[in-house]
Amino acid sequence: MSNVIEEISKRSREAILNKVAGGYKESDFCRKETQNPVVHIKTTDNPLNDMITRMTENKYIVEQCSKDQLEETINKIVASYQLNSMMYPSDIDGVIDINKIQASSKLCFDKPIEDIRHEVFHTDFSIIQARAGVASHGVCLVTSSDKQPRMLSLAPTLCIMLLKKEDVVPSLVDALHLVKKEHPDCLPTNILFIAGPSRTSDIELVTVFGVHGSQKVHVIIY
Amino acid sequence: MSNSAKMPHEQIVKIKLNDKQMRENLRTAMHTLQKNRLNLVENKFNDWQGLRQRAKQAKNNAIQSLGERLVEFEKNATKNGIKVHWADTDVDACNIIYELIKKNNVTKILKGKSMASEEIGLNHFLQEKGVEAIESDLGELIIQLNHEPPVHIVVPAIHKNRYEVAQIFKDKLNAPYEEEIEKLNSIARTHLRDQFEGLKMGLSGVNFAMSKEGAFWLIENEGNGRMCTTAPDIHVALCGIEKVLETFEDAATMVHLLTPSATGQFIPTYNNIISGPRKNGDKDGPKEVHVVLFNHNRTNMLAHEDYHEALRCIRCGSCMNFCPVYDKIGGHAYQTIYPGPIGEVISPNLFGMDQNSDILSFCSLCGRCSEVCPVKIPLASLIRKLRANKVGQGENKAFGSDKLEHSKTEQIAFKLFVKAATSGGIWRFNISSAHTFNFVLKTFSHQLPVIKNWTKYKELPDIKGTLYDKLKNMEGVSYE
Repeated sequence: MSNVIEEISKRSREAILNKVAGGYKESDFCRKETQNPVVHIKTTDNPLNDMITRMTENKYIVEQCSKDQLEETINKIVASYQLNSMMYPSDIDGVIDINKIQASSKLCFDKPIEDIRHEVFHTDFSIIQARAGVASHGVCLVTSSDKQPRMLSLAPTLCIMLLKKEDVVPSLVDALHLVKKEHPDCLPTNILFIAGPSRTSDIELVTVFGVHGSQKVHVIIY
Repeated sequence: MSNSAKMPHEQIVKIKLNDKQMRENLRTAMHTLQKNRLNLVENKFNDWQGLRQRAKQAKNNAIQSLGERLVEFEKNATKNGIKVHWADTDVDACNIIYELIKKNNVTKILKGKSMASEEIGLNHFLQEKGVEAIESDLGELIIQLNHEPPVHIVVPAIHKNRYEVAQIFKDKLNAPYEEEIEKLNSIARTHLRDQFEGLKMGLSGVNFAMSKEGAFWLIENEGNGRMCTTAPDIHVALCGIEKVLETFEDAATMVHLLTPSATGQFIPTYNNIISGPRKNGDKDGPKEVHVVLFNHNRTNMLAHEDYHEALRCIRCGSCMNFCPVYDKIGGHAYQTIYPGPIGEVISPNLFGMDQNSDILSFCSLCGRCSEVCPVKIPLASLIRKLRANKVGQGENKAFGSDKLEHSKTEQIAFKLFVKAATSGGIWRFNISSAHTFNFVLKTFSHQLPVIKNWTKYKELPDIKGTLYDKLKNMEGVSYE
């Protein structure tokens, strides 16, 4: 690291921590540990239904099928948009038979992005596995790994997410605890809650879909 | 914005009040945001007030243990492979970022939306050093192309309608003139797409940092934020020290409230939690992640018995959406980065009372801001206290108050008003003869000292007959 940065940082660290120590202490302050805030969200006793309703409100296109119908469902979606090129994570093979997916080109994202940068930015659609669905907010939990890189859920125009129906969790906090439990030593580099296609309302508060992320997002619950 | 670059307060207010297009754009937008928030709170939440209380508590937990939080964040983030830097001033923060740029031979960076970067004047700083900083959020891109500061902290180009944006894109990007919003979005998307593909360094803000996890949470809708934090080799995140919370529960609590308060959106499209650079065989993501923890006078607020409460702010902008002054004059009239009620509290505190205390008069003390603030900052009350500091009152005055000059005429005028308002006889006499005073004032106002400054921009109302007579005749008033 450059000396300039080290010098500024060292001096500032000391100054900030000294000044923070002189912060105002509220005499009647009592620390209360924060509990899961999901109790403030209206839910029913059917988490799967809650999740599907909210995913639809978030503009996910929700489909349901059995595991052996996954390829057929994916093919129907892709055909409806007339898309050609596909990319997928290296561990999706255990879930679907990639040979059965109809696409003119199929790119397995199993090498560093530097080797395939252009392809990543110019692929039509991706298929990924969502780690969980969150009932309270209708979002998918997507975590990055060596098998499932981050760009898969961002760069292509269409993203198809696969979600096991037993992987529904009640809340955002439950989802994060699931991630912590599965990665006790080191969190995934990127943990995402995705609420459908990318969008903006920056002009006249009119919402348009498909900005720098996916334009359409389908979730297939199986 | 330095005082020398500013327009006189009365002049800019007059200009903005006469900008009919801006006022119409803002009026419609603010009413939509208010309605969206109300509908969402009613339809999706149990006990919204209880949630506000929880959020206040969670933020207070962090602020009351801030030293511990910062050191814990540094320790855990470093363990995760994030490089943590500290910056006491705005210039320190700019210099650290510039040094990182220099070291990596970068000439251009792409930015996700970050009010913190606006606050430290990063774009301007880098421009002077020959580095291009390009905004990637659609609203920020529009105003950057038009060389304007944000008008609102959440929807920065909300004062522009589609036709104005079409003209900006035509003039600055050589794009065809398109009036459809979808097409305007598509122009921006294409313009930035190639830039993301070849990106070396991206910059973002931080919505919440979790000290226990050594990770931070960013929210956004467009995907530009994810692009800036995923596509480049180096990601730099600029984080005000008050953004550091402790746990996932703390951060999730803020997410439950933030976009519902801001725009009435239940949850943002992307909740992007970053815990480090590419590692353990990852195939993408930046190779370096830097977090710059910066102060810029936040510790002055932290030390204050009242103003420390404003450090809870999660930058939702709800206070400005509901402010009856903001939608009439717009964010630019404040001539500082943070407008609206929260701006009236934090801009003078961060930049100094001598720089920004003029904006304290943009408030009718109606209190709507305090009622909608998701983390229960008593904004109206803090504005009132800052006004006292402005005129030289209060024990522990806000930073920069000692450099303010106090107007003798104003002090005398207020002494007279206090005398009149606290004496029954004088008050009754004044009210019953208001129409006579009014006639004199209307006739000679342009010649009277002090009053001529006021009537230059404002008209006195017509008062006919005594106010007591009018009161007597009002329905429902019993007059004794």
